[in-house]
Amino acid sequence: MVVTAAIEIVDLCFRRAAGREFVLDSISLTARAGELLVLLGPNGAGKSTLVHCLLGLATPEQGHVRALGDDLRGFGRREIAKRIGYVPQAGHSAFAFTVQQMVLMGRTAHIDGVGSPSPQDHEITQRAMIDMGVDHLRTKPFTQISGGEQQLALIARAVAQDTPIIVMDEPTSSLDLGNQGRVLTLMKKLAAAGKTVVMTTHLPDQAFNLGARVALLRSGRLVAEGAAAEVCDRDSMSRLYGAPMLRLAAEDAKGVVAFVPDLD
Amino acid sequence: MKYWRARPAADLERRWALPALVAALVALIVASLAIGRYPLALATIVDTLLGRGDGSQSQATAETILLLVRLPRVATAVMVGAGLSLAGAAFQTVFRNPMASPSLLGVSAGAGFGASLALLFHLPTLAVEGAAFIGGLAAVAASFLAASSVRGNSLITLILCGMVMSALFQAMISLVKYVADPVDTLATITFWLMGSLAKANAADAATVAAPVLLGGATLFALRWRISLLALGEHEAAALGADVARLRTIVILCATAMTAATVCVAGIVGWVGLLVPHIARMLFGMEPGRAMIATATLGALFVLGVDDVARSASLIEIPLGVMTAVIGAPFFLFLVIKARNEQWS
Amino acid sequence: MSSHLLRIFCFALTLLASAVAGEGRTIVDMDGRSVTLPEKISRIVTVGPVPVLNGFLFAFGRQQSIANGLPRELARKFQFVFAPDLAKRPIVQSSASGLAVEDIIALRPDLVLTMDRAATDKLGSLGLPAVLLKWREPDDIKRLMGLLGDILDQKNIAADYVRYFDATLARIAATLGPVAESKRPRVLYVNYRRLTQPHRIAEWWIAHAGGRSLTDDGRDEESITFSLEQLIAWDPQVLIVADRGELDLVMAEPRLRDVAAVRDKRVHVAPAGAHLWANRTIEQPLTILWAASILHPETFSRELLESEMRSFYDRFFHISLSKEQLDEILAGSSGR
Repeated sequence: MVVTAAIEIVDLCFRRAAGREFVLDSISLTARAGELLVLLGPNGAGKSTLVHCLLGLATPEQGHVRALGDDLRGFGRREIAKRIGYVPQAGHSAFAFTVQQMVLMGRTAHIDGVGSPSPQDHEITQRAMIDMGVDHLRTKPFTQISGGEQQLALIARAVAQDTPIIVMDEPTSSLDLGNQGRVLTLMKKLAAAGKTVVMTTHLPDQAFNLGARVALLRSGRLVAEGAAAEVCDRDSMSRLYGAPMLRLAAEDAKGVVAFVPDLD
Repeated sequence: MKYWRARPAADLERRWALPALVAALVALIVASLAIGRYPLALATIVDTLLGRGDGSQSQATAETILLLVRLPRVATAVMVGAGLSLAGAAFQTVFRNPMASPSLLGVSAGAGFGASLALLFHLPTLAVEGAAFIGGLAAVAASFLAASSVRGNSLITLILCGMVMSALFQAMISLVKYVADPVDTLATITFWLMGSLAKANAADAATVAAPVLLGGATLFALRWRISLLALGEHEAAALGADVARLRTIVILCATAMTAATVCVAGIVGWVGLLVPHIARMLFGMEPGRAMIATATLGALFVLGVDDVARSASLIEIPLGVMTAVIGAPFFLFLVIKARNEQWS
Repeated sequence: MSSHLLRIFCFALTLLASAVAGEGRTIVDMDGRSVTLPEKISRIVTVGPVPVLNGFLFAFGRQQSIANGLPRELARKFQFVFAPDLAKRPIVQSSASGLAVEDIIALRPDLVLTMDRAATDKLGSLGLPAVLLKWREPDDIKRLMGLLGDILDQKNIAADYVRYFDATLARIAATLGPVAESKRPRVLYVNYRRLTQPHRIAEWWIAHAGGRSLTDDGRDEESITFSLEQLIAWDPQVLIVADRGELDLVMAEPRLRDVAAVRDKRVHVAPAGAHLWANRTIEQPLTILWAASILHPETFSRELLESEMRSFYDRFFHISLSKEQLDEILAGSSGR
């Protein structure tokens, strides 16, 4: 049985300008349909750059990024947007679009250049909002809902975009534990529905909680890859973050392991 | 950073609000044809518009006033208002900055310089307008050229270059004014720059209508994708918008529209900055609605102000002066209102 | 007794010496400022509205005394006809750089004439004998000429001009006779490019010429701006413009074709001699006569006007003008 990878990153090298050092050095990764992949790494490891390359927002100097078997280089923005959806960190917006308008924007790739959303687009948007549990906020200005609600709305937008691959950049950074849980649960559901979900995070315990595969990134290099339980132990985490870590595990933690800095 | 709360007033979300606004504009256009220093009875207006007439001298004069003086001026005012507001809204979206105005990249200063130069050499009106248009485009092109030479080429760079070009062309306008003969030319230049529709004729109306209608139609056709630009470069691109191409089209359209308005009406400020805000506040952010509301409100504003300017007293008050006098305090009011409501 | 005589003689000698040494006299200019001037005025500099000031000096026969030339943007052909030497004089002001103060000082003027306070203050503070002349109300010209007569020690010419001024006005009034309101044509002096009536004095000379100026509202400001529609609403019977360029503009404007003045082809270009006749100029009495000739042609003929012009320029500028030159003056300037 041949399983085609949904995402294939082969020997990816990226740097900002010739003559400067590589921000990403020979990264090779794959992710299959229905899989959850978590990118872990310290600040400046190149996680965001990798995300940008994955979305086609940055052009690598060497190497390939393939989505569903096709190299991204050959695609225009609309084509890429039909394959890969992006959930950025919930942040600033200078304009108060309503939640519904925000989520509706996810349908752009399916709308013609000079067209407007069709009734079908509105329906899909509605369903995405209901699924993500933000339908009751649809007429509220995006700028006036909480950080957690904003993040959920952005995920709803990616769902409305209806892509087989979803890339999320630190989707839980500004969320409280409750909302973190909600977002992670949604990600599991999306993967279960057959989507490939890639996310970056600072918290290794989320990889355990999701049962995801983990890729460790340090100084632009892929240091390790594999199941969370195999890749993340006290030594590897300490090496990754360049500081001593403590490993927290408990009997009734359902296999979820957390790491916290050792302050002594 | 929280910004303008564009919560649409509940009742204006209703279906009838926008058509009512457009109807108000039509009503004002009709009313404007009846306003003026020359007394024209309503019956005479109707007769003239319907082509009925008694061939008398007073009928001929009524025709001249209505069709050659008022109608072109009203049409020009409507186009100027709509054009500037749409350009302002477009710029605010592209630059993700609610403080952006059409003159952000220097188009007004450039157009003003072109016109001043032409007036200095006593060129005919057509040449003055042409020079204004070219000057406006040249200033924006210069901003782009300057920005492209800076590595990174971000929006902020473009805005900064625009500010520099604006200042540069303003300085050159001052130079032209300095050299101009104070007895006559200087007064003409100053008056021109202040913005006025005093001599607007049919040719002027056509000159401004073409770019405004074309540019407006283009922006309207692309309205859905353009609204994405407000999210920022990466998000818009990731959603499937061709950011670079869209930006170019929007800036081109907005520049052409603004340059055209400067050609026929001089520099009219505050409309491009203020009207998009009001439209967003009252009618929400849905791209189609917002654009129609913006254009209509802009036309209402400029037409209303011009009606007052030309009939309030014997002396004609320059349009640019009036929009500033009304616009600036109103803007302050909006800012205060927005700020207060955020903190409550 | 001889010692008394000697003392008186010495005293008289001293007085004489001080007078000859030219310590000067003090006059009061039209702004109330005291200015010290030398006894004999031989070098005069005109600053500001140069052609207007030159015109006053032409009337005193002082063409040779003018030490400065005409700035390019203010130059008129007839200034050089009345004072050919002006072409050789250095220009000491321009709109680009204002007053070339050092050049003015270098000319060592005995008298500097201006018509604005800023220039007077500036030059006065540098020790130059700057005298401010004012002409706001129509009758100011008489006081102005009187002051110049005192300064130049040519009181007789000043008096002659004042007499001429009053006499001409009286003659015109008498010839015109009492004019009924209905017989006074509606007149508009307009700068069409900017839709203004730029000079308040026009209200006065139009009235004296037997016309009714449409912008005569008793205002205090020098100029008045109005809309195109207002112009059409006024329906002037006679339009006066400042140059032939404006004439072409007005006649070609489709929106004005129903205005009485355009229909009846009663659009006239104001003549220009030493200065534009429609504005303040020494030739003002001629302005009224010319205006009367276009407003009431049946009473004031062109021959009358030409003969009066000849007489004026001969009497005050000491120059005999040919028919061609008179026609040229009456045709007005070409404009741009």
